[in-house]
Amino acid sequence: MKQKFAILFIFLVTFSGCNRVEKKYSEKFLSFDSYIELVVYTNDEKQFTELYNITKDGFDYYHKLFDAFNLYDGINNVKIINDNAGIKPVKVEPVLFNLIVESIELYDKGYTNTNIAFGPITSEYNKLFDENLSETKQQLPDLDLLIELNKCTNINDIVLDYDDSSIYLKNKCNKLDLGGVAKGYATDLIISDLKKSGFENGILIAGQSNIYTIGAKPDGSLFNVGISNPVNQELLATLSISDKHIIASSGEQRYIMIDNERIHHLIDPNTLRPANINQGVTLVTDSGFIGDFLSTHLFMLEKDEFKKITEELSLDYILIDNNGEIIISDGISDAIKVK
Amino acid sequence: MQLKLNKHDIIFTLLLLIISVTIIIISLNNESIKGNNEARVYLHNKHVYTFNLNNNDQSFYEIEATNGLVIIESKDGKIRVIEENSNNNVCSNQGWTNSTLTPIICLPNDLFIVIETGEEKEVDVIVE
Repeated sequence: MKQKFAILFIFLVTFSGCNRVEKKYSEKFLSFDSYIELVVYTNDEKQFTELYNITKDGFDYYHKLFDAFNLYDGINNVKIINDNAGIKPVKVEPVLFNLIVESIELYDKGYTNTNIAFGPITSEYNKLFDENLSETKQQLPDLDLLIELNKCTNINDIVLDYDDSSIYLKNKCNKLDLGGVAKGYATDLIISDLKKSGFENGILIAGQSNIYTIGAKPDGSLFNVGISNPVNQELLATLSISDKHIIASSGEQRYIMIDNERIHHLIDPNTLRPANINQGVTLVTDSGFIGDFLSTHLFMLEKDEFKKITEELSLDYILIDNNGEIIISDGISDAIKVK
Repeated sequence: MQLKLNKHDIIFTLLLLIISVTIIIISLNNESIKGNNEARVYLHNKHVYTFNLNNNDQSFYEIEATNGLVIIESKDGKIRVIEENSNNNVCSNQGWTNSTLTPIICLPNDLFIVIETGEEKEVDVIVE
């Protein structure tokens, strides 16, 4: 009899092991003006629901907080700061205050192509992407107008009150634009909450240019992140990586064609025109915020300067220059397969 | 040597057999999900319609979205948006797709379409 129980026990343990293979759960939604998808490998459906709720609620909330275009009840957001430019300081949530502080700190270190005070210029270009203009009316913003507006993009016009956590823009013409930093920052905060709730194996897609992978697939292999050619969307390479943010900046994410010229959303502060030095930059980083901030800055740099900064900061990258040449940092060369 | 089975042996063997068959049936059911290609349409973050992409027939789905009517076409296992009202018509200009990795995203209309196959692919996600 004991023998039979032993056989039954071994049998059940073996088969219950088969059932312990983690199942893939995924949910997707639109938020933060982006397509968001959470993929989790787990045995526990309830845990997935909890992780999904953290993700959905997190992006919905941070979108409202960092929004420069809409007002929401009870939230002092970027639009309120901008509407009160030259009028009065606005007390904000610590999260928004810290994002502004950290963005200014990075700018002050010399990474000046990502300027959160660049709103007066980007809002002129945003009219091309957002307003319903007929094709005959679509033209580049006048350079003289941009030069005039550029007088209002001094980052020192942002006055920080640490005691009150309030933000004041000195001049009526000042305007914050957190477009190059907000999603990465929000992703960091949400991932921190997800990890606390047991997010161990999966992927967070926070817009198609902002990916985070954690852990591995049930067979133990790492997640494969395809790097696409920004010009024709063909797969260029596959990166097998875990516990990293993979963040891309390219002129293909948001653009319109005017007179056969691609007018995209990454505006070079030196020329006040769309940057045209590289086709795309993808960074592999530990922080979504740093990746978001620096991918925009690096996208606008010539190769020498690009290499100098990535070496200084030990940043891993995939750079596609304007000739279509792919340059990969040494740190990820073993993890990447070029097609 | 002759094998003698008593009543307990028979019950025990039957028990193992029943457990084995149950596990095999469950596994086969999971397998059958694979290869089931479909395109799921979401409006205002709610799943509203599913196209079966396994047959190659042409079919259409029309839905009133944020900026008016959106018309979606499916044919030969692929899907595209053929009509929608937005400033730069990003999602209708995207054209046909049959890839699980490239959803069709119509942000101004708060609508998106994803393709699901239930199969694991070599590439898990694409960064653009």
